[in-house]
Amino acid sequence: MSTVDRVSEGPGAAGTSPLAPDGESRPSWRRHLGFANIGVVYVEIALIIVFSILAPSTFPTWITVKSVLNENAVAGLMALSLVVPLSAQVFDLSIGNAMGLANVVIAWLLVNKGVAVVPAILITLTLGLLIGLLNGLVVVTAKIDSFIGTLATGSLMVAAISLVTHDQQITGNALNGSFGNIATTSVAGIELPVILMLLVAIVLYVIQKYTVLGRRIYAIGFNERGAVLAGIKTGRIKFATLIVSGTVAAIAGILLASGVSSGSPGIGPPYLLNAFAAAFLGATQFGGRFNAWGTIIAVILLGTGTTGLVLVGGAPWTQSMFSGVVLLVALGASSFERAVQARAWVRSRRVRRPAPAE
Amino acid sequence: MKLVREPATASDRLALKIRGVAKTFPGVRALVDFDLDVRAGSVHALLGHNGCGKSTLIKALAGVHAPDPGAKAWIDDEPLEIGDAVDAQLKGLRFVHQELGIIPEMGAVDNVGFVLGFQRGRFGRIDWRAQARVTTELLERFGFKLDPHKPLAAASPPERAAVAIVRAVAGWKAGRGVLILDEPTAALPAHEVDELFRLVREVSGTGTAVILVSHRLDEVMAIADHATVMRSGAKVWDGPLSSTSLSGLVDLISNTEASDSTATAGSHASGHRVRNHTTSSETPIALEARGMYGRYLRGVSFRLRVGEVLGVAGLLGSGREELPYLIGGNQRSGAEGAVSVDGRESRCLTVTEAHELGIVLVPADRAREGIFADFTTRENVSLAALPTIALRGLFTPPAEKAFVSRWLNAVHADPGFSERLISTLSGGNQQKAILARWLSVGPKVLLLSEPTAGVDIGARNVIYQELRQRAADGLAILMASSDVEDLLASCDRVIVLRDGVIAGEFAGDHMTKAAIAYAMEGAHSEHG
Repeated sequence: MSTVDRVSEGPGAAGTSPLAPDGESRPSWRRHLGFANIGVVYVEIALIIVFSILAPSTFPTWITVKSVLNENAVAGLMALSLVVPLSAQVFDLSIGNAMGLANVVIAWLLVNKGVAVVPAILITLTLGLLIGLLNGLVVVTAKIDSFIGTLATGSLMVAAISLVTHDQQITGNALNGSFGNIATTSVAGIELPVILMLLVAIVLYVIQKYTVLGRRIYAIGFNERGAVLAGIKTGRIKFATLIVSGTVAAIAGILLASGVSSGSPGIGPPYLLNAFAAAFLGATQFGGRFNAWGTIIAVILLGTGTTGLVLVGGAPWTQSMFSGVVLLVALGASSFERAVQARAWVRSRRVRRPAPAE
Repeated sequence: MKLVREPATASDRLALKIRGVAKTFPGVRALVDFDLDVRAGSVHALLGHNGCGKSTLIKALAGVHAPDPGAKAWIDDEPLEIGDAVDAQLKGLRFVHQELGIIPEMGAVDNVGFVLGFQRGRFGRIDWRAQARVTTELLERFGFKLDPHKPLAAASPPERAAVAIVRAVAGWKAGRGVLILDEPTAALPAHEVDELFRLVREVSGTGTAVILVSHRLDEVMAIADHATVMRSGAKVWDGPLSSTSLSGLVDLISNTEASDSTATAGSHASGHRVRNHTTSSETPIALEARGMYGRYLRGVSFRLRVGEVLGVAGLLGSGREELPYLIGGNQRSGAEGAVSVDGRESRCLTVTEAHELGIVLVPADRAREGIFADFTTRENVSLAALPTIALRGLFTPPAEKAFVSRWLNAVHADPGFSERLISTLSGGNQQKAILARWLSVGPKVLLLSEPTAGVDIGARNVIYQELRQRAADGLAILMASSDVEDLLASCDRVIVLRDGVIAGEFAGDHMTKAAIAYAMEGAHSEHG
């Protein structure tokens, strides 16, 4: 008996108190201000310094601040729309085309159909909701992998865009006037899209941080099987996240139509990659999960870089390269830091706690 | 079991000889100066409880662990470097683990080809027709006929095992090599085992030695001719199976006589086995399950009384691991059965319906089903009860923190773990957190599967005590565990499952390690 139990008790016997052997956490200021937590902020500060030195007369101005914000509000909304399903580990690859479809549909309603502004907006928002519904049916009801399923629905949207526009840009007076004013209404130089973006970010922040729903969305994303066993209605929630992403993408499409006074086929897809870049970069910030403010800061960082490169006279290719390099470096740096932490943790554990026999 | 042992084909030539292999982990001697002789053509069973050292031995042979210096081994009289995976492969040691290592989306053709190489045609292209022919011949040689192109996912479990075994032993010269089968039947329903054993006999019939690791002693008696029993990293018995019996093996493995007396003495000292004597036939029934059928279960019915801790014992594949899930609402398709709580009867519950009835489940696979590794401990604990802290879906962090601290305290875990990622906690503290999560919703029935897997002894005792306390407060608890000590330490009554049905029920003085072990194995006690 004694020898039997010596072996089975071995691992536990080493740590005398069941409460003791779990290692300590690092001081909280180091965690909160560490590169892994707010690295993007440091990179942003470094960028501002570098561009201010290179273009001292044009870069460090209020105009630059306004243009970075105003020009990236739509991209910010797109990124936020992506964060919602991504938190539940659902990929919505259709948001680029959803946004493009909303963009041409509202232009078509206003210009070709002569629909008044408010009904046109409502119809387009409903369209966004229906797109989400379609994605939900594909991903949740038909259980098609979200990566492929939303790629396919996105393709359907490309067809719809072509059907509506005949591959021609839609322009007309109806897009100016009161509709055109939507995107340019401003408070202290900050335009409505920026305010909307911040509003969506605030709502998303509150949901993710302070609501049962937000917690459950993360739970699905982290461990879907565990979420099912915890009684979370995973299908219903995943469905809802796709409806949100479709609708927010439609809002972005409407704002873009208002801002550039046209509905253009092919305007949406480029936003998809940037939205992914910002969402993933943002997810490395503030605690390692998809979140609103990390995403906003990532959008601003990418916007600062591209605006700054224009101001210092960089060649057109430098902008895309900048986005790619920033994303790789940021993701690489935080995964490196995490690996270092994990290794330190394993080492600290190995000393305290012998490996179990089997 | 209707199997009849075939006449021994074993010769006197040793296929595998091991001398003085030991393995020390920090603080634990998992394997102590171990010798083993395996004769060519024999089926040699390696027996013992979890933690007896047999997995360590297998892992050392497979090259996963390097043994302590000084170990020597020979295969077919050729020296073998223990702990060297390449040398083991080269000298003719082959391993087939319970998971088989096959690719279920592909057919036998590919699964065999990946290991043995593909038949080549001109310009190095794969000659699929020749490959299919070779595969079919190989399988037929061992008595299996199956479409070599059919994905193995669609094949029967014994057919899948056959592919894994055949590709392991193919290409050996007759009578050479050692095949090690690690729990090959553990996940098989009883009626599929015979087919697999036919294959094992074919293999050993060629003169190859087979080492069989198994918990199912009836099967061992049927197929093996020699056995080595291990306890605490050492050999306690080695001999031909004709010289012992099923109950003899149970005694050797469990050390039943000795441990029963000491366990009782020990429990009096530590006070963990204070039984709840209040449950009697007058105590109201908390949950009644009738006619539970599933992948393994073949009609199980039982009643669980208020304040009772009911244990479920059984070998892997007996239905023991399936029962809590069926009751807790995680149904597979094809599952049947009725569960009634408070006189309300429901068929095929969903998890949500089970929760509404007050039934919650602490799942077996903590890493995959229990914890959310990227959540903090706080988030893991509060997950289930969060709606009750929230007002219209909105909660405040201080309220959540206070709630979690209270429940971490309740299960004797340090509230300081709250803000740490749960993946950085020890298994014991993770399990306490999961327990806190489910106790905090105020359930009527708590189901647990493998509640102490990977949990150190200190945390284990805390969990036992906590469960007894909750039961005394009126919670009905069903605990399924592969560790009989778990059940003895906390249960009022134990039901033993075997081949999907209840094979025994024990309570009070009849609830002993020996009685449960005999019932699990289908053996009859030789000492009453």
